[in-house]
Amino acid sequence: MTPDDIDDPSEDWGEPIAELRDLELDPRSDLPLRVRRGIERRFFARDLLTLSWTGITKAFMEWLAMLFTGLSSERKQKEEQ
Amino acid sequence: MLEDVRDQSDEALVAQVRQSRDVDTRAFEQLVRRHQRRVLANCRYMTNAHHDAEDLAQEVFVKAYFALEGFEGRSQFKTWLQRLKINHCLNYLRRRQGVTEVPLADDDDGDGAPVGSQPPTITRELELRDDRARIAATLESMGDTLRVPLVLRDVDGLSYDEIAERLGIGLSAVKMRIKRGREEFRRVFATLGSVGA
Repeated sequence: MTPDDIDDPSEDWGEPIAELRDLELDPRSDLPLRVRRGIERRFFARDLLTLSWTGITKAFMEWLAMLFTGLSSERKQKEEQ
Repeated sequence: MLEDVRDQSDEALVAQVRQSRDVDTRAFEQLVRRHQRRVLANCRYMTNAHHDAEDLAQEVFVKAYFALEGFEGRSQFKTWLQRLKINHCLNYLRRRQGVTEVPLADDDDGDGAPVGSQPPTITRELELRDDRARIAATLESMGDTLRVPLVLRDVDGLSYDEIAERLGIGLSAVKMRIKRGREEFRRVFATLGSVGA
């Protein structure tokens, strides 16, 4: 702690200022439940993203495989001719 | 299981969350229950956002859950959560700044005019007899310029240096704002006391 961190001890700021230290507020709704739902939403979004990415990657790989198969069969036909 | 969770320290609960994060959220829910009142009060009075405070508190906890992997345990969970909450609330204020045009980071000390201050209504007057409600009403009546440094110092217990760094203003400006904030807080608090009496 530096000297700058220390309030002037000669100044008494009174009780309301000291009470700020313990300031708390009761939530109106069930906050833990809201938090759990928020976490579940994030997990769902993450899973969906992973799933979509996997789907896109698989589709691309399939397309590549089809392309190479097509090309190689075309080459074979040419060679046979 | 719930009984077990209630008796555990924050650190034990954090370890439990990290072990079984995808399976069991009870340990984390216990941490939320334990710290929700403090986080909510801070979100509410730091931003003065009556309607958004619970959303902000929820976002802080969700963020904490996913950031827990990076929590190294060098500080207490409470302190770590407090830092996260302060950053989140300051970002909210900066986003809102364009709308309310209340400067947070100017070097001018600001006049501390109670932007968005509301005169107490009749129902409010009844509530003001309670000290805690008076504190809340006092903070609500203060502008961002003086309230935010005051909350960071006297609610969160941040050092002047930390406040200066987070708000992007000079150390002397921080000290001045906190001093003036306390003065205004005391003045409004006393005024509301005479209204509620």
